[in-house]
Amino acid sequence: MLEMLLQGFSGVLNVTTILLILGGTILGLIFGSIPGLTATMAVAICLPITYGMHPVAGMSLLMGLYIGGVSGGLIPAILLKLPGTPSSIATTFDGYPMAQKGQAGKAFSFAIVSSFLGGLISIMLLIMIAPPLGQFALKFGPYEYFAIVIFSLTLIATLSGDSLAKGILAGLMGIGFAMVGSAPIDAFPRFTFGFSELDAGFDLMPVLIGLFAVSEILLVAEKKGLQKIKYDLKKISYKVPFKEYLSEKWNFLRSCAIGIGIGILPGIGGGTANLIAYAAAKNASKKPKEYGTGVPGGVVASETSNNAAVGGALIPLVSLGIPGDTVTAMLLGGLVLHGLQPGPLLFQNSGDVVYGIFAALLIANLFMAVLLFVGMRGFIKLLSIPQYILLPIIFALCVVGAYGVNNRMFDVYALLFFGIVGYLMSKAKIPLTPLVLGFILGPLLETNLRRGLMLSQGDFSPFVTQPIAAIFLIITVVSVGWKIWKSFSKSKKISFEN
Amino acid sequence: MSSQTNRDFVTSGFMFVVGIIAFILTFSFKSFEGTNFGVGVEFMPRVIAALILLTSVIIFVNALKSRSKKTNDTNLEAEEVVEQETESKNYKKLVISIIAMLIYILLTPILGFLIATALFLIAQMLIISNFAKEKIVLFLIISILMAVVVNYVFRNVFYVMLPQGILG
Repeated sequence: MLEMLLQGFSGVLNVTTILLILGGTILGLIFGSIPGLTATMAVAICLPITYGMHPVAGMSLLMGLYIGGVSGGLIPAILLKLPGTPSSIATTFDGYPMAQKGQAGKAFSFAIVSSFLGGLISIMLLIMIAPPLGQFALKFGPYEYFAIVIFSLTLIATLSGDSLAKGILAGLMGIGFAMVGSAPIDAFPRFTFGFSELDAGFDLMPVLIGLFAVSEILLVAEKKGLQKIKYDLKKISYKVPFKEYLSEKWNFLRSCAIGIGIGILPGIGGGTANLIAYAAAKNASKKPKEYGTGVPGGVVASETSNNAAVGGALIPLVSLGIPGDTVTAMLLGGLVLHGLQPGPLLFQNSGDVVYGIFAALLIANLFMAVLLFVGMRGFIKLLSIPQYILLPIIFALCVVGAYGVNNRMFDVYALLFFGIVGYLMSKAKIPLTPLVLGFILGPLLETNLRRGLMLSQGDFSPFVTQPIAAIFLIITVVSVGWKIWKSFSKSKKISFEN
Repeated sequence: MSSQTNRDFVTSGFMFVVGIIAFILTFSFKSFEGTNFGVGVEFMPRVIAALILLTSVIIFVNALKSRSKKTNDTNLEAEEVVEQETESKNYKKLVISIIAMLIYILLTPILGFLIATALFLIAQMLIISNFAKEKIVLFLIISILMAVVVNYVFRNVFYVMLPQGILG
């Protein structure tokens, strides 16, 4: 394995790729630090840039964007109480009060160090877990894949959004959109209404960019007044005694584990991890009442877990081909664009790319920490660029991104369509992430179901009698049952209180 | 009645109709003999359509429940009316934005990416900034500069063949 990793480094350690990682990390940090722009958007906009590159170089750029995008959110979270990305929501709870007390520099130190270490440990774990998991997954047939996809799909429904029904609806909509075009196996065109452009179905890129970037632009466009962000930072001191760092070690390790664990689960990523890690840190603390008033522990919990979720989310992507969150869904699109099939065979067929990705992640993680310490002032200045200038430019870049996939205008129309769909869904309080996961996992579900049935000559029983498939289906039933029971008892409690 | 409950009614109604249409459409799908073991091309779409119908009914029932809970609370209603009014004023900007985006996409193949983008950027910056006319010179400079830079970089550095329209 070490040999492969060294080989991965040798593929990445050249001037062009290093510059790409550096540029990606900087751009990611910018997107992460400006509220309204996300890591997902950054990856979406940069995907067309990677078309002409070598897969390792292209993926290196995207890794820089991913790490930077998740980390940049800590700047406005601490300075302005505005989470730059959903991954930094919990950072505002204690980071902002710390800044108010004049400890912005200290908050940054804790945030940057824990981001770096959280990311580092999760990437190490990814390097250790993903290859054997991929090896194990090689044994999976259609029955096992069907069960895993079912399990992943129910996780979306059970874990995202306030309303279970709306989460499920979004997932179903995603599967429905994925059904437009030729059916798997027999290629019969479905829901195309006679439009030949729809025969190939909707491309993943316009769907993702539309849902997550264009809908955001529309949501800002309807706002009446736009906020102006200004922050005057005089002198920041990053100095923190080593003893203080050390006192957060258990909090750090716990948050790291939470981040990785949640990252691995499909459908949820740093956005959920930071909130859960914060709650766990507060519960475990000897002085839980101090949380929220500006203690470093809150910042450590949030920032460790969101960066740890990066490595976690990449584990199922690299080893199974199942994305853990929206950014990894986008990365999956990136791999497919380069003609690589994410999943167990990726290690066998393109080991150099996989280990190149691992090496790029480690380098990007280091760049992120250094850039944040060195360039903090510059990033803070960027916060003051008004949204009315940024958002139109981003739409133009979205158009380039959507067009560049297949060089056809149809994808640009799809982009606007999904932008409006995403906007309407936000208005109806329907979560967007389940739609994306449904869109990606739906075809996998159908293909494996039908492949399995072909294998068994139309017999459904292997889906429940094959041991690995059965275990996943049992876990699925238990987790869904638990969620339904919980939401039922919650609604009962509310009506009782009323 | 709260605006969210209203929206839930609209959502459930709309998705119910979508579910029915999708369900009916699945009957026009044909499977080929030989690949059809157990289930054919129409199986999954039909299951998904049925599940969409089911979830839209659940959302409808939930909305009914929350309406009957809230009818007595007049304070809440007043608040939500205010919220609705302020919201409705902003929809104009949204609709203009969508129209601008649509015109931009339609014009791109004709005028080419460069010209269409420059025009769109100016228009959209004006729309989102509430027509801050005093900034028009700034918008003009940024728009033209960005259109030129993006067009050059993507065509010549990253080899994405953007539509050239009348310039090509």
